[in-house]
Amino acid sequence: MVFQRPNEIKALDFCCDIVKPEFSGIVYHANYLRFMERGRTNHLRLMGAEQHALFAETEVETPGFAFVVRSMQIDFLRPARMDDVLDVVTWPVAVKGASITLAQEVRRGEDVLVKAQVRVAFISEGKAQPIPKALRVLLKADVG
Amino acid sequence: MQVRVYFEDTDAGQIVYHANFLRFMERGRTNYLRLLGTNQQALLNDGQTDAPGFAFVVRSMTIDFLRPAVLDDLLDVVTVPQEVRGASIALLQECRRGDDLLVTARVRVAFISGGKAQRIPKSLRLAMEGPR
Repeated sequence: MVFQRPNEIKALDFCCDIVKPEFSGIVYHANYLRFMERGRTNHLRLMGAEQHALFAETEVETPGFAFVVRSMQIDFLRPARMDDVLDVVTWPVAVKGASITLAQEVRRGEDVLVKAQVRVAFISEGKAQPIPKALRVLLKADVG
Repeated sequence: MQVRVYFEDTDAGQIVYHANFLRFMERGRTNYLRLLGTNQQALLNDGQTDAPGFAFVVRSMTIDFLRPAVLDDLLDVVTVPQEVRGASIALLQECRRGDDLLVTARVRVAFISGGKAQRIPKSLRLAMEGPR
């Protein structure tokens, strides 16, 4: 699995006491998926904040659009513990006609705890659709 | 193992939230361990003696979300061991609704004891190799 240099600006900080750790005091593995989902949402939100008009246009072209997770490859390298402050870093690695591949890392300081490659598909009205060109161009701009 | 989809498992799109399939699959794995052999209690005691405070932790997963599950669905979680190595096991897991395959996952779990990766005690390894 190839990971490219992340876009540091899009790091998302949060404290993992928001999410209840399991009995052993380490974060339950499925909860990293929730952290990473927030990372993806934040990534899109930051893009949307910068490109509000484009997202409004996409909404008109493909009403009720959303990205859904199609596949994930995840490596759980080290555990996160209660009270850790984690960074979730998200960056696109490939943009195709109807899907995007994102790389994500969950870090504690310098330590990479979890890394993942996530393929999300673009859907509108419940069906996979091609990503509107303007949005695709914008997403591609970040692929480093 | 069967799992019923409750409202709490679904998200704003009224389908099962993707991370919740991992919870279902974890139950599938736990259940699989429980069903290993009839003398499972003895087996676990063996494990306790050989490697006190042991646990299995998930090291990596490759998951394909093929179709969504919705409220009230009754899902089958199928767990099949693929490869039993010295300190880790590769499992294939599937979430099915009848004949429809909804989610497939390849999961690698490592055996740890005292906070470190350890060799799987022989009795446990044999039990896992057995039913393949």
